[in-house]
Amino acid sequence: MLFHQFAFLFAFLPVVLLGDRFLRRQLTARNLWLLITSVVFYAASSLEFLPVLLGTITVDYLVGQRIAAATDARIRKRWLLCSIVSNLGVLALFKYSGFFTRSLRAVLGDQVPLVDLPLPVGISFFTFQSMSYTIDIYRDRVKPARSLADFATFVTLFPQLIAGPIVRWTDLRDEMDARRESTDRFAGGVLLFIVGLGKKILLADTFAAAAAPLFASPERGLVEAWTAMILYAGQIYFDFSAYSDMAIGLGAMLGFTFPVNFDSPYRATSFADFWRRWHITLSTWLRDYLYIPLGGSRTGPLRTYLNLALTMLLGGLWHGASWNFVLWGALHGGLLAAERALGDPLRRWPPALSRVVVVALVTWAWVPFRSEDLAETSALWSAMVGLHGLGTLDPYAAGAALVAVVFAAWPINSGMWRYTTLDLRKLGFAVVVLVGAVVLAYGRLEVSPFLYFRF
Amino acid sequence: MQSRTFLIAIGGVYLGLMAVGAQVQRPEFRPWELLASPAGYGFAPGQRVEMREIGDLGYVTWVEALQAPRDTVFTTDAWGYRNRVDREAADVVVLGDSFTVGSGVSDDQTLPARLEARLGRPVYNFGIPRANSPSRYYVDPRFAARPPAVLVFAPNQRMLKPGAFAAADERAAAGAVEDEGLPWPEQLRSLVQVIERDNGLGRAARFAVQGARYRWRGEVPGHRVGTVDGAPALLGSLEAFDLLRSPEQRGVEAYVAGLTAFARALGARGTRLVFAPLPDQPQLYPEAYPARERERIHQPAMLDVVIERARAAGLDVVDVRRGLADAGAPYLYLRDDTHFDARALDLIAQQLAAAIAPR
Repeated sequence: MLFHQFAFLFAFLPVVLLGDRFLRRQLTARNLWLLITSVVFYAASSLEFLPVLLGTITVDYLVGQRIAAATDARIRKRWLLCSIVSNLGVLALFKYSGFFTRSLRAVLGDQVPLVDLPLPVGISFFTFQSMSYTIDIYRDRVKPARSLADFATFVTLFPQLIAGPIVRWTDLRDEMDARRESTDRFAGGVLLFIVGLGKKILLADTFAAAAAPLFASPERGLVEAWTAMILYAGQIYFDFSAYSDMAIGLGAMLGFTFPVNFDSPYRATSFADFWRRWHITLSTWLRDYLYIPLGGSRTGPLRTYLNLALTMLLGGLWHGASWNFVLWGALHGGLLAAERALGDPLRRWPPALSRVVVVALVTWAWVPFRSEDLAETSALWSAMVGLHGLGTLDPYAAGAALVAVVFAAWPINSGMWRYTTLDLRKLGFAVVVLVGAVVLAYGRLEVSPFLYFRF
Repeated sequence: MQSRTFLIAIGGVYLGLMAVGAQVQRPEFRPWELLASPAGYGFAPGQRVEMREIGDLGYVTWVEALQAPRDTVFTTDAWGYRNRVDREAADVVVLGDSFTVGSGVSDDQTLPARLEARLGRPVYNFGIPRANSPSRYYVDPRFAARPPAVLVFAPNQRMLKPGAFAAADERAAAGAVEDEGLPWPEQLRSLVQVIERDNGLGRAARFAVQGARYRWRGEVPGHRVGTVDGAPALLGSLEAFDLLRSPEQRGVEAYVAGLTAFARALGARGTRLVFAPLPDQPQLYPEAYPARERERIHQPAMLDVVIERARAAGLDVVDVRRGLADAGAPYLYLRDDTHFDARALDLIAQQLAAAIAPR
């Protein structure tokens, strides 16, 4: 079930909110209602993989209890390893087994059996979320959940279950016991949800439709290639940040404060700055649970560059089981390492110039992320450097690309609702966006699912 | 502005949208959808439906300007076939699919009805929804007991599938297929899909958006709009018509073998088989498709090879394309449909009558 679908917007959501409101004075029942409805939400998309989700939750809850109860450091570490192995094992099996076996078969031949399992929806998100719980308990940063039901509610919370933000137990622990509720917060959540809906339907899907014929065309010149990639850069940003906005808005309606996930990333003035603004909850997860344990920047420059590269490489692989995503991660790792090695030169340039450089290189790096395979990556890069000629400008696509640039340059982030004072203009804006997005979502037959839906 | 005021205003808009969407109804754009039985072998028996229907392409296009609504009457007999009169026997039986059933035209305009009018002899409509099942005909007790003189087998070229003669059809024809229904998770998903697809808000939005796109750009994404005889016509895709695969890939050998065996079995009963496969839009109106599309059609087509090999096997074949091509304008298909219009069906009946008569 996707947030813009009729069944979610006009059937599931009102039922959930009404039940939540009705039970607001009974904490246990209220959390249980949220757990049940979240499980139904997941089952509507991926019933056959519900046991995987529930199994992950059960294992990590029990491991968290064991870690907290143990006093021997070795035993605590062993339990932690159980959680990590279990989560990464599930991820490796469902997400990466096909990738690994296909890669081995390319080298060793058909004697290697092909294992290619379907991908449970949201597996990359809920495994990382669940792992952060046991790791934080191990680090004594947080106490375990009081009950399996509480922990299950935390992991399965439907607004963030499928595609983030990656919420940590430390973020929601207190609100599980006492939701942060007020009419202002609820209204802010509604407004943010509508903004997200508009970003997805009115912007992201429009950019996708404008880019589709450019990507489908076998003859792409420099102009078409860059126009298509600018549109894709806009599409992926507005698509993913839209989902985050809607998730955060839904969380606010339910009394939860989810972390901000995007902070106008295309306004970044360096690559490090970009990663402080793009998919913030993933980059902070990688920082806290991978980069820093590897040594971070505390172990000398060469080791720092290696840690950066490795973290980004694995971050790329997290996005998808394909060499394309590894290449994408490697590119960003290389850019971060080079930036650090050169003493962060973009910081010394005029902000407008550094932004152009960052956006251009980030757009360049989106090519393998978007492509089906390395051959397509190569073809697109070749076109972008003019090896297939200049090409021609499609006015419609160019116009859409300009709109993408304008909106992407606009300083806006998902935290806007915190600072929003509602007025008539914003009400009018919300009504227009809500009606427009709903009509376009149901009327435009080729509306796409969220890009991060299958991670 | 107070948050409460904001929420009341947005809530009002939200409830308005919900009210528009609350009407959820299954598609009823043709009598077919109302009457087809779930098992796919026939219609509900003893029914008469009068309705204003639109075409199978027009319905999914969601552009009113491209739809061609027409009033039709659809009558089924006691056995669930489209006949106005219950018949235990007939001189001629026409076996086929939706083209034989007469999708898009009224009772008196179907191919069997026009053939009966031209021959002056009883003709039975043995058209079956979607499936093309000579086996089902063969086990029908009425025509096993009192075989007709002539069986016209008029499958649409898409239905030239070896499975038409498969034993599975025999089991289904004998009533062995049991409708077990969907398991509950699939029923839940099916319900969600119905809500998504058939809610009133979605339908209104699709008409609004697709209509605006057509007016602005003259095209409808995902659909082909051609110009035939100076007017727009919706065209089916080459993939849907299965025109991109070779006859070998489509199983031409097995099909002709099955057809020959079927003819032999009918002959043993004293029934003469007349084989008259029916073409699709790209085969009669290739110029309506862009050149790069036309180039993708596999040549020779399955229709051509089947006709050639059926004739070589000594079967009685009527290639209706010549008569249809000679008829010239106007366009022979319904403008929002993949099926023939009444005039085309009458032209086909004319050719069949010439082939069948005199005795």
